[in-house]
Amino acid sequence: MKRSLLTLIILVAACFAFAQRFDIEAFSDTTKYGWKDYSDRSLYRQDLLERQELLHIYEMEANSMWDAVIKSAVVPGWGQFTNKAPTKGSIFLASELALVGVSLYFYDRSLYYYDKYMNANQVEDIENYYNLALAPRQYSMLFLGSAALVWAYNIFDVIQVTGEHNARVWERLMEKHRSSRVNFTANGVEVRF
Amino acid sequence: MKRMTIFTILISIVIIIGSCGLKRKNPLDPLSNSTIEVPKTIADLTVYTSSAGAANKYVELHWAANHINNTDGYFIYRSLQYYGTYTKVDTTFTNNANHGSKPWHNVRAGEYWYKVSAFKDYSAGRLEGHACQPRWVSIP
Repeated sequence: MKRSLLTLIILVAACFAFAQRFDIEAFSDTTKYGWKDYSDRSLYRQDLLERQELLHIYEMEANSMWDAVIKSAVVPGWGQFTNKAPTKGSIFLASELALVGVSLYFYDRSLYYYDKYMNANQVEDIENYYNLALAPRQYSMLFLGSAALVWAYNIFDVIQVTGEHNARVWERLMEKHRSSRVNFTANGVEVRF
Repeated sequence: MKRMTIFTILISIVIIIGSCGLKRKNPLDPLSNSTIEVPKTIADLTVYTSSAGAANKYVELHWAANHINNTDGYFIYRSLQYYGTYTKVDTTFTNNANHGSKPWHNVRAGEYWYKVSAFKDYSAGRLEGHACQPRWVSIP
């Protein structure tokens, strides 16, 4: 009990000791943003508006991450295509089609022998057809698993590609903004001749 | 490093899925149904033929009878070559057969290969066991 009371007193004392006074002078200092006069404030405002406009353009030109992910989930590579990465998109689409195609081929072979196994009534035939059906089924599963792996990597990749694309869009906008003859920056007006 | 670990785990899952077995659903498959008993391969096959110049040619086959628990009858096969295609020529329910005794039997002079396999009837169908080694026969 005594220990608790002592701790409480120490805490209250510490609060008073380290408490800061409200600095009314610092609060009302108009030069803290770097504005020396009204024109400075106006320039800053102009710069802020331009940045807002840039942001607005960026939001219109940038691609949504979720849209890209959904597109790539439905058709592997589609998200990469919309993010201006056609090579990657082609690779993902082609490899996915190839892997699924090969998997289906082996699955079909497996089904063919499995039907024969199901209809077999001779011990040798039962064993032979089962073994003949087993190997293609395993290949089919391996290729299907690989297709799933490529699909998962495609989703992971589209997130990165979208981020890179949006970064490029922002850089391009900034570049365009910087290349204009008159720029309003936080440090003042920048005019190029 | 983390990406490599995830990649390795995914590859392992793919390999494990790929190595999954195929279900044995054939009701006559002895490996899936413990009540199925595979008919034993017949033993001691002996062959006799009709004598030279006989009008009705035939081939008599005898073998050691299998136990009734695993055999209900036997199939007789014939081929022109050892590794040739064997045709089922007769079905019998005893441990001997006379190929040539029935009107639809087609037995002519020549060299043939005969083999016999046992079968057992189950509710799901007739299960045939392994055939014995083919036996060469020359019909004069």
